[in-house]
Amino acid sequence: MSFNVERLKTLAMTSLVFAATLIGWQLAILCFKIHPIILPSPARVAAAAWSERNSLIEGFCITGAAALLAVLLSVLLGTIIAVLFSQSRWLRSAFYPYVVFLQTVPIVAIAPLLITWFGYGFSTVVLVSCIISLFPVISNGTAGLISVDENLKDLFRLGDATRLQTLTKLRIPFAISHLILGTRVSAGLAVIGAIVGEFFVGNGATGYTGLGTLMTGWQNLARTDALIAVVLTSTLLGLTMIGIVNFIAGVLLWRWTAGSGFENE
Amino acid sequence: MATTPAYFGEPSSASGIVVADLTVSFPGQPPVLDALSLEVSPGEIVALVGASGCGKSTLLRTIANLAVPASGEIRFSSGAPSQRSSDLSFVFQEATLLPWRTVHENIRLPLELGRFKSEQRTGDIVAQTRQLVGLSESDGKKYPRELSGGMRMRTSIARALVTDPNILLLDEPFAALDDLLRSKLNDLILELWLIRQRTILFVTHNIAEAVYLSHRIVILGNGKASSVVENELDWPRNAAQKSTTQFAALYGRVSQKLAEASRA
Repeated sequence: MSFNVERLKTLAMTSLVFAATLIGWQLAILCFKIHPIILPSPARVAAAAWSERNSLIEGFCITGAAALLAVLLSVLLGTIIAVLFSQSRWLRSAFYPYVVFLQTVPIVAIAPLLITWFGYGFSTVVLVSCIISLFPVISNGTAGLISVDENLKDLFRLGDATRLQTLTKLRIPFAISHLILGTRVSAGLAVIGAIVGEFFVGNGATGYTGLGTLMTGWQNLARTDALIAVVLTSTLLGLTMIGIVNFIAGVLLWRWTAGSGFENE
Repeated sequence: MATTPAYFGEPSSASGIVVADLTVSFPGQPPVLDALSLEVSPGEIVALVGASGCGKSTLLRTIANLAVPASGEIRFSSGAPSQRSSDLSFVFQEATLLPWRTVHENIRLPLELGRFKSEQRTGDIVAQTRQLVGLSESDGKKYPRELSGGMRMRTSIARALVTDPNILLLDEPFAALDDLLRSKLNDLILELWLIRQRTILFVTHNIAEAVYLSHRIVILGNGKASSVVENELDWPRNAAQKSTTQFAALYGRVSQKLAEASRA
């Protein structure tokens, strides 16, 4: 019961901050007479969002699909790589630096390269998004797989567990909450990656209409109200993605994640 | 008291442990165990006491094949050295349960691994072992986070017993529990021993526990078994013995030997 009251309190506080922001925003425009091209009022943004609702919904779906696919790929690839890293110190020291390279590579710099190789389209957006969201899964997954409690490892050693048994019955279940944490970071990054990918893909005028393409388009038309609407839609997409991960963690994988804090969010 | 489950082996299948000139050292440090020799008869309960860091746990871990000795030998009276860990179980200081498994599934774990892996139905064995340590059927469905410290430790003991080991090694298993729970679990160990009479070697910091539970108390100091105190308390043990002069005398002797070992 107290748990629900806490939730309601959090919701009330969040809504209050949101309302205060809107009022402050509207007042600032009235007091300082800010031009709508610089900063449109909340009402204008809402109107733009309503009139462009079809584009925004379509953008939400397209960018969302790209980001979701990228996260799925990242989780799949990242888990496989993390498992391989956990099985061999040699493999880890040989390849981990390249994984860090993946994290440090400026995605804006290689996006044009990817377009050259894979063309202007959905698959390039997914790829850009995947590259940016892969690292947290690998690093968290590897950390989880190799940080298993020493006593638990001893327990498996005492039982003469095979390598496969130790992996499937100990390391992987132990690493699930780490993997979820990585996936949550990855879900947020995937949206950024997809939008960055769309900045480049959109320039190819291929009829692709993700949120990133809408952003560049409306920026060129100086439609600040619609631009803010699309920014808010992207935020909503990011939150939705993280919500999906939390749902999977808290509801489907509760056996492995209970006690890791997912149920409180 | 619990009755002997049908699947458990005969009391005669306990094995003894012979530790001969065992030296264990870690890189850059003086040896933790220095040519230590110790003999534990089949079905005997031996308590290991000693100052912190004197190598009690290391000895247990080496016997369990979890640490590699620099020299010396460990033999079991019912097995060749190469199969040394084949019929022993280990209870850690922490309950060391898998949080994603229920009590029942935690107890079953050893039966799913390596050499114990069996195709036959393990449900009955697990249920009997759970009952043996005093956990109910509904406890069996709970997850470790839903259990008290005592119940977690009972689960851990059940997991060690499920393979019906000949030797049970306990590494300060009750150190983290309060006195009441500790004495309850001490009685559980005695009860289990009376049923199965397996060899038990346990490490403790608690002298009263060492006296109450053992046939013999071995005091470790300077990497060796510095002295041995024979425990003449009558069997079966009961809590009333703790207030006898005989118990107090034994307690005093162990304390004195322990102090001597620490000074040396």
